[in-house]
Amino acid sequence: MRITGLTVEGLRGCPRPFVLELKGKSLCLVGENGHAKTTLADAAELWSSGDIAAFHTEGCQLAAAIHLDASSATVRITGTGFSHSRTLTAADGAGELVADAPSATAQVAPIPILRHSTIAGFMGRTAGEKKKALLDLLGIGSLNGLREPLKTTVGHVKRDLDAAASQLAGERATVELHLAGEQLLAYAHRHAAAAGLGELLDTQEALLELELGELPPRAPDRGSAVDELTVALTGLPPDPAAAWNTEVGDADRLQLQGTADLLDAARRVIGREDRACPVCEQPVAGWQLLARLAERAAELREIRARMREAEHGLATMQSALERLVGALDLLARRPPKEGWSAAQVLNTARETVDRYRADLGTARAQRTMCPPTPDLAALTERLPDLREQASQGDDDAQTRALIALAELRQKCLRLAQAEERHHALATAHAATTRILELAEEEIETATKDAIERVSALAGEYYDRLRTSSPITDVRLRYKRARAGQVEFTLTYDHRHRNVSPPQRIMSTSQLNALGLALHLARLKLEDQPWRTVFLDDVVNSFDANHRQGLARLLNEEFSAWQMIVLTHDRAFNDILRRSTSGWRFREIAAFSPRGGPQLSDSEPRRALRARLDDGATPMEVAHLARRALEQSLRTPLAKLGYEIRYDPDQRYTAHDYLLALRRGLAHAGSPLNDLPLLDRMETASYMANLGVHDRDATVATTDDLLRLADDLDELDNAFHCAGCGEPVWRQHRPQHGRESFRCGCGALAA
Amino acid sequence: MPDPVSQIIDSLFERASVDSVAAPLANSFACAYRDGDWTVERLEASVRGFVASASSATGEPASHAAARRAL
Repeated sequence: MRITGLTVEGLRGCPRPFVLELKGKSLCLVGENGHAKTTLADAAELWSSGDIAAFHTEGCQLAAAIHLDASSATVRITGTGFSHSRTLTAADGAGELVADAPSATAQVAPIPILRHSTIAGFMGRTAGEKKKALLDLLGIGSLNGLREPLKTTVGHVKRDLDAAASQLAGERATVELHLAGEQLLAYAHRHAAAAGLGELLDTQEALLELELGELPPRAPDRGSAVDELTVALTGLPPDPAAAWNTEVGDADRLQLQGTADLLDAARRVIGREDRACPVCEQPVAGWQLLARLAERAAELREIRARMREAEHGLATMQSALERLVGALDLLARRPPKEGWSAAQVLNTARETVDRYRADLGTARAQRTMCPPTPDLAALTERLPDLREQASQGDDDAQTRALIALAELRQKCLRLAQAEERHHALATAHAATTRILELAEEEIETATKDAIERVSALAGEYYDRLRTSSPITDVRLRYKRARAGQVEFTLTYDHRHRNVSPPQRIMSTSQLNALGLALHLARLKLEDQPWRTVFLDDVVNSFDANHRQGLARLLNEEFSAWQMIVLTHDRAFNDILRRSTSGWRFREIAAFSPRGGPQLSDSEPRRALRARLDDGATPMEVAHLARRALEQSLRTPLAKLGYEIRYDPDQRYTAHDYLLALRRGLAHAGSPLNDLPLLDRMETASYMANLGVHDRDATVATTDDLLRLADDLDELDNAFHCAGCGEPVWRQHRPQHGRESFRCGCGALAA
Repeated sequence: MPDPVSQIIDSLFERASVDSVAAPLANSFACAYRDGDWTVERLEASVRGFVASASSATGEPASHAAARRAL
């Protein structure tokens, strides 16, 4: 499929209908930045795919592509056997592709579009991202979506398997605890006999099939209450009464007396009323008195320490009694079986302990004497009896055996279920893991095959883009790391092999060239209906060598394709013009916000005059003026075969052309070099404003432009015969060392 | 010309269906893909279905054989 015509209206930089006639041929369209070249590529993308990908990556809505002065955008593309249009509106988005006339082509595939940003973005990606992007480019991108759900599922099944393993271990431990070290069948036999089931439970299956019906409820658990009472009685501390009573008698007396004595003695010492010892009343010297006071203070400190220890004994005993009361209450809440002889003992013990607790509290609070610990030996002696009676409970032996068997059966069934679930999950985990492995093998094989196909051609194309480079043997290599990675490798200077990533060696320009080589190789191998490719500013950052190489590559490998090159690079335009045949070359001569781009329909010099006569503003015609100036100087320079200084990028200014022309005329001895016009042009303000590419052309004034138009007309007249109008280069004969020109009508032009 | 991705998927599930480890889930996963429902939810539903089926293969409650194995 090829394009014969493209019309775009209301989209991005094209507010009004813009028509690009292609007639199925390749085209190089030159235009300044911001003159809607990329809009044409966007139009092709919108028309063929219903979307513009860049408008999503830049965080915009597709409707933002509609021009600010338009309410909708329409793109119509015609070709051999088809003519469709698609409309984009803010409300409904991109509409369906509508055939303008009955057409055999109902659906179209996306038109291949290579953009500088796409290529640079690809080269800047990580190896993992490159692999994904490359699979997309190679048409197997949906494989990227195969792995992730599988991998996530494997993770979730593993999580469930781990949980099932924990559940299984818990169920197994429950059964083992129930058996308490006894063998299953031995346990079952023993309890079956006690339950009166005879030999029914002689196998495990018999146990599992046992139907016990509704079992009686279990008796209250008195055993744990007896255990708690045992622990409480065992934990009673030694009798604290003796220590407490010893200390509390002496301490109170000594403390009270000692404190009063010390205060009195201190008063006397301070007042020096006497020198008598406050204890023995004997006269003493002052220092002796102080020594005695110090001894007394130390004695009081010891008494206080012993008091604290005795009080701690009381507190410990109180805590132990609290626990004992709790255990007795627990046992009391579980009524003893009728006829329990221990009931009286329990009641008596509870009363005794209660009394003692009260006595302890009083002694501690009021610092009075404490009674000794009551004798609880009677209770201790009855513990075995209590334990025996509690263990019997209310159940008879037969019921207990049945309950034990039923509980064991239930636990065994839960264990079996846990085992089966674990086994099933283990099988599922193994299966999902294996399917994931197989999927990764398939993806890897497919990726390797696809990459292998494109890798060699991409390397070859890169070699042809850049001749005489130390970088050779460029290949794509697949790595198994993570989910698969793809990266370029290369040989540098014939010494360093397998250098990767290429950023280690390559400049930005070389990387872009490599990316372009890869994308072109992919296009060449891709099985798709289009033989049309848009190349949007792909030579950004390319030097002359790369531009020459690309032009050569397009001419040699894509001569059967319709290449639509959108570029601001006039040098690349000139290279293509020289190295290709059958191409169309057009230029966006002017651009205005309301009118959009305007193709150069006539000679720039005449177009400039016409626009100025129509009242165009300097801003609107500044770029056209520059082109007119450059072309008016470049044409005679080229036609007369004069040389210009060498610039590998061929970025010449109007000033360069003018100097070269004058140098050539002077060298040939032409009288044209004496034209006052050329002197005037060298110093003209428009030359400064329009003659340098790096300067903003819009700084030229209307006066500058009118003067320029006049000068260009005069220059054109100077190089044409006044008689017949033929250019001087049609007759070009040096005469006696002095060059002169003779036109077709025979009159001397100069 | 057949879609290259479909060829890869067909190859994958063909291999999985005859793989002794992968076979239990190969068919249900292949159905999920061909139904256009290649999602974690659908794959997990397939796994749950398989586990439920395997757990109740010998009837509820769990088989005595499994109990013997567990004990």
